[in-house]
Amino acid sequence: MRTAATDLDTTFAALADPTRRAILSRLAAGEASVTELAAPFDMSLPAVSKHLKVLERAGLISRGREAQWRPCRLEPAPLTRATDWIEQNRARWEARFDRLEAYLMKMKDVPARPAATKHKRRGA
Amino acid sequence: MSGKAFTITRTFDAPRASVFEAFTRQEHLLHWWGPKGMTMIHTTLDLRPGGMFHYGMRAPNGAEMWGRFVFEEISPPERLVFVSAFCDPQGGLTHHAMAPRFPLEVRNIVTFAEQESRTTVTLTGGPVRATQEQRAFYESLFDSMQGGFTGTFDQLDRFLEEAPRSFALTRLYDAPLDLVYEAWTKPEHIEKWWGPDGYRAKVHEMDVRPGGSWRFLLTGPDGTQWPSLVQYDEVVPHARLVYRHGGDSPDGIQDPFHVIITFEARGDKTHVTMRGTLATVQAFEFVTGFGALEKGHETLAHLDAHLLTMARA
Repeated sequence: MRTAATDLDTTFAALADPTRRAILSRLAAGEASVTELAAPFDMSLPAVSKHLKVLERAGLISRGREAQWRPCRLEPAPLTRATDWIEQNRARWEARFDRLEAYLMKMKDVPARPAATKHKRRGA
Repeated sequence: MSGKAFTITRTFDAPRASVFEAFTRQEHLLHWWGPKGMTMIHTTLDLRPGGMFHYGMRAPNGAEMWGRFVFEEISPPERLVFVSAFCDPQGGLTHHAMAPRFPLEVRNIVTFAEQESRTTVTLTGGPVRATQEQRAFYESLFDSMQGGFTGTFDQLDRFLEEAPRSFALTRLYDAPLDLVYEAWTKPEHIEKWWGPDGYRAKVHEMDVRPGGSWRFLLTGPDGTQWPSLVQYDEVVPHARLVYRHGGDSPDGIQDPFHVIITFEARGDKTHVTMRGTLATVQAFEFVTGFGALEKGHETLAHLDAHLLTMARA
């Protein structure tokens, strides 16, 4: 099952690694080849490729098909989605608090609640 | 102020405005003020000279402790002066039950200095209108006060560290505390309002105890299903719930965020606060760094240096 939450999970999992964050930082400055991306790291090309695959699966980068050196480029959309996440949660909780308010009004009207017996209901 | 003053200094990794706010807003203070291990059960705050921050705390053994600040000077974001005291649940001055020789009132001067987006807080305390005996007793406590404030500032440090990936809500419900708490902790009630609108929550298991779980299935309007899991870390009945909330998967809780809910009776009404914090620290800092720019690659490049520093941390 694929949901917004699991997409976000993939984004966060991809970002959890410092090497991958450094790669994204480099790509923020513009496209780069795998060799260029590997340069700052004490790491084999296959190891860097592995990181790139994780980033690509998370939709954080794309690889060019046209050129033979297949440049990597940053895809900022998932990052924006993740930032929006907190705001969406706040909105969701606001709505949840509203629904609780409405439900509490109903609960107060139920006469057979044992905990409420000491507050006698007036009227019908 | 005659006699010796108590002083403690601590540097926080947060801008001055945030630290000043943490000292002057009740929805912030309730998360960090006070000795470690205490649960805040009451807070009211009236931020003006002569106004009061009144709070009640409960120790793990159930003992309650009440205190207050009366503000004398409020100069955001650099200086705050208040007179602190132990008090009763109505806010009236009292001696501390365990330390009757402690001065009734202590004036605290707190200064906030910012350097490179870090903030150094200096708190200086001295008794007000104290007898010689009270003053001597106060001065004999400096070592344990250092320890106490260090614990409290550890809590502030953590609060500030979490602030950028947190959101908070408060609400005053026109319903008694027992009813509101029941609505939060009984399956037959929570299914009715948890939502979101158009969604149905079906509770499979709900064990509101420290270490207990609440498993439920959320079904959306189009039939999509979200198995969800809440794991309770702290449960203080009718006062506080601390839990992690995320997707339910065979590997455990997914993409969790931490939630703190507090409940407090205000006459016939109930004050509820909620704070949600995303669990993944580094990832979220990184993401907000990008998100702040929003538009396009050109602007993203400006963040490059900053992000590289962060990635190395």
